[in-house]
Amino acid sequence: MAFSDIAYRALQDVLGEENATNDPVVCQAYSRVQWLPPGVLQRERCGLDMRPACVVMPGSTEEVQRIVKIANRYKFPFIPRGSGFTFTAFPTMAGTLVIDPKRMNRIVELNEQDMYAVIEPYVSFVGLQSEAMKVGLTIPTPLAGAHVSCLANYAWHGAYGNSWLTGIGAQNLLGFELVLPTGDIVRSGSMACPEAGDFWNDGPGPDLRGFLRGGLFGHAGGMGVVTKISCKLWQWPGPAVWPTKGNAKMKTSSGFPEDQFRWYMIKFPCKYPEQEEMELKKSAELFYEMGKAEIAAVATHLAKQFLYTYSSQTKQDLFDNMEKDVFPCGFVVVGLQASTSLRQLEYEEKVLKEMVAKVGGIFVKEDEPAYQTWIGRAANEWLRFGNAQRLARPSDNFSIGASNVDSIDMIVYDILEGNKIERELLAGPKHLGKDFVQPLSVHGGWISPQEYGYWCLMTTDVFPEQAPDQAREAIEIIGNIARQQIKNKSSATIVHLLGPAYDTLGPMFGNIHLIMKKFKNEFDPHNLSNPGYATRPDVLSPEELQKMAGGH
Amino acid sequence: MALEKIEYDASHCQRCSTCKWSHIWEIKSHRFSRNCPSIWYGMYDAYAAQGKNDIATGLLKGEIDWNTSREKLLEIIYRCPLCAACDINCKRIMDLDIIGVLDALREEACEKGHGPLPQHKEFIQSITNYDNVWKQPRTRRANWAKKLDIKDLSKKGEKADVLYYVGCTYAYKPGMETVPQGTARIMKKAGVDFGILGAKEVCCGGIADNVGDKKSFDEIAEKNLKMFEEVGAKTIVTNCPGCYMTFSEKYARYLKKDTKDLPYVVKHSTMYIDELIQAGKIKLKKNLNMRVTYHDPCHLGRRGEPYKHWEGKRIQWGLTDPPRELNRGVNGIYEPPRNILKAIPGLKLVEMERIKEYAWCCGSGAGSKSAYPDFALAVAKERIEEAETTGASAIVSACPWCEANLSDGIDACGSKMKVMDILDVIEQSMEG
Ligand SMILES: Cc1cc2nc3c(=O)[nH]c(=O)nc-3n(C[C@H](O)[C@H](O)[C@H](O)COP(=O)(O)OP(=O)(O)OC[C@H]3O[C@@H](n4cnc5c(N)ncnc54)[C@H](O)[C@@H]3O)c2cc1C
Ligand code: SF4
Ligand code: SF4
Repeated sequence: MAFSDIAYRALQDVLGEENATNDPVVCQAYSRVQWLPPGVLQRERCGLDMRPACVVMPGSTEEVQRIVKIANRYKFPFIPRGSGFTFTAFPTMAGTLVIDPKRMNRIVELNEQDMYAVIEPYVSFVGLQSEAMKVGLTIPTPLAGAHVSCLANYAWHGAYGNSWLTGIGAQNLLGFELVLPTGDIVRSGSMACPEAGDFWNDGPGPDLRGFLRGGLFGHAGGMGVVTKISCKLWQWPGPAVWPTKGNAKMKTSSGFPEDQFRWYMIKFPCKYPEQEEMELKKSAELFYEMGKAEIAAVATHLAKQFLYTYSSQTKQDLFDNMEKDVFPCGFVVVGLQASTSLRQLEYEEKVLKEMVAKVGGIFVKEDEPAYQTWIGRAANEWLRFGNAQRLARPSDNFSIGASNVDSIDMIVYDILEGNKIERELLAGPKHLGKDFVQPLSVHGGWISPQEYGYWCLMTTDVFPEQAPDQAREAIEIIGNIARQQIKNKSSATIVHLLGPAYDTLGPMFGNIHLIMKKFKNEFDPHNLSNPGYATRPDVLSPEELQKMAGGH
Repeated sequence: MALEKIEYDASHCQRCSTCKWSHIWEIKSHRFSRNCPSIWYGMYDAYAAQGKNDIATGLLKGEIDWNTSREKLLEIIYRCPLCAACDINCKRIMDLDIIGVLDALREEACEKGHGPLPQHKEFIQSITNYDNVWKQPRTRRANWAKKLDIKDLSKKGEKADVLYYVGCTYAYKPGMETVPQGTARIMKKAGVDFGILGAKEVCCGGIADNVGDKKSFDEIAEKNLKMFEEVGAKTIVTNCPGCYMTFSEKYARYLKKDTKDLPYVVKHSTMYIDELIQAGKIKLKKNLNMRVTYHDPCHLGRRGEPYKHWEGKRIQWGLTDPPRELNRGVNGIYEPPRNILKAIPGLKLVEMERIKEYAWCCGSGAGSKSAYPDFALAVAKERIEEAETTGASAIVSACPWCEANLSDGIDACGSKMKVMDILDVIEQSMEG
């Protein structure tokens, strides 16, 4: 599959010269993403093949359609992307076209009454939220997502700071328009029915959301280009604009009136790591109680690694805070919001207090360093979009160690197992992760219960440097944890590295990849739509994949 | 090689795009959520700090070189006003010296004989020939001061507490002389003992540094520092944010010192006048019935922060030895001009969406207006459109470059707004 001059000229004819470029210097800016070990290895393995041969900027669905048809005519691979934060948005082979969506950045509709928005691919989360807030609405708030494409995230199963209330991306996707890898257009949900209003994913019209999912990892651009989505909006009791003015020194989080939001940090004092199990189990108990009562907008458990990184003002500040042991263990963080009234907020506060007492938790006091650092600096960001980019602050790189979805109880179990494995590997003969930032790397556990605890998501991270040898160690750690999880039959393990690895690991995932492959072959007969993902092991060798899976 | 010193910073960009947008707490609308004029205009990622990091890394690794696409490379490097919005926004999440990367790319271009651009060379040549960027004779430099009876400190025996440094643009640009004249009158009224360098005043050289011509910059800096020493300058006041930043940050960097350890203190005129107002030495009495908005010049705002010198290396996990305190733009000069405007009776200050360290640049800095006038104009128009949403009748600023470019923006938009220099506003309020 090569990228010919004729193909390039055809693209320029459709888009205009300024909207299609094969200039190597411009394309260089689309050639590397190295915050994750897979990205580091991808760059090591693919080298300059990661540099696209051409970048285009369509301005409409019709232009996208024509690009895709040209790709089919001249047989070159193409990758749609949002902001390009994730390694799946990058080429893995020479001659690839990258579709940059910056010209498609319209908020097509913001429907206050039916609480949804219709947006194009380059609308950022923060842009959409700022408009929604003006009409008393808000959106789910991905921790790393203020500036990423809302559309890419929803199609990719984003997870959010307020997922306790909103659930993940799929629950917020009400409809979409997709240019298939062949260039045909399909529409899902009520978007499929002209004049119906884009308010519902179940119809009229087919609900094709599953089509976007190559497993739990999203379709990663492997099934064409989503050109429009409709997404759900949520009640926003706060002010119409975010309450801050210039000089946001990162010293204190921007303030909210007490009658709109209240934050709480809850601890289960424990000696770490010996009593980590108790701490996590108590946290789970609290979540179950809160879920039964259906209270709160934010409810999450944060381990040290998240508390230190998200609240850091500088790298030095992060290490200083670790030195001072500002967060001696993990904490439950709860945010209440007056969605309907102040009375509701006060009622929820009473209920929360009772529940915390019942499970033996203690509210962290306002003068405690943990409270001042977390609530003062970071908490509000969970309603505005977190600063999970700060996860890279400790070592300018980080890796998801484990990621999983399951019941809250099972998630607690997985975290305990994951942390245990990490500690054992560190202490073992190979000292895996010895150069990673410690103790952050062995204190995983973002417990993110979804939809009042109906189900739960977790991640644990490790903090290697941006170096291939450390990336390999991180991958070995991930593999070991994955193997354990699979052995424990703990439901759907999402090992972030495994996007392209189903061919090798498929049997462990119930061969889900086979049905996806059938879809892929049917709808993308020439395998042009992001061919590196999501069902082919292009980047890593089978041996490496085997190793990741711990020799299975 | 200039790029080597920023290799770590460029290659550890995590590609999060934070540098392209305003601070998440600051964003008030989808329309005005961007913060980087370069990518806003150029669209492709290459124009953002993130892309420039990739390009710097590519050059270092030999994945691209100057023969790959020389013209495009120069455009990407120079079609950027070095406004540092990217740098400030990035530091919210990482500890990378992004402005250092942008500077190094320019220095590299010059080292390799590709930069600066012809339009920039004209400025530098003009400084060499005439000591100013506008190809004007030295003898006319102090024409604005005629009849004002101001001490010329370059003359033997003259001494004053304050050196008032005017800068090339206010000294020579027709129509802008009202600003230095007003400043001089205000200082006189306040009883300040000050003097100027008359025809001996030499361009600060900021433009040479901005376009990467370090050699020329060093020579100019040396010349000025010598002059400051000769006239015994302890306090320097200037109206031009470019000169202000050059004296406070660039000269400190040249001397490998912190700004606070320079042999002089430099103040922008708004800082100085704000102090005079606070001390009761100036009274703003006249009612100005106006609704205005204030445009933060980048060189006064996020780039106006005192410089903290650092020499050292990256160690494990990207920590620095010795620890390095990076500028974050929070200590720029934001409040003095606002204090002044708020002190004027009848005047109502209404803020735009992007202000202070998240201000939208006017588009003209660091040689971008001379080399890329269409770009500079588009960026100015964007600012005017933002200003228009405040309902203000005038956009006030404190920088001759911003004012000239914003005026062009107003003409291009067909806007009815006026651009005013803050000094002119102050003088109007002092009249009577
Ligand atoms: C530090 C860090 C923390 C993170 N935390 C979170 C978090 O808390 N929650 C969360 O949800 N995510 C998180 N992420 C993941 C990532 O930020 C999100 O998935 C984000 O949505 C990526 O958006 P993007 O615009 O950069 O998409 P890209 O990276 O550009 O694209 C993502 C994938 O979607 C595909 N794609 C993009 N646009 C289209 C389109 N129009 N049609 C079809 N396919 C398309 C791409 O090909 C690619 O495979 C985190 C990432 C990092 C680095
Ligand atoms: S904000 Fe910083 S780390 Fe993020 S993409 Fe921009 S330059 Fe890179
Ligand atoms: S200095 Fe300003 S224009 Fe240049 S890349 Fe940074 S934000 Fe963009």
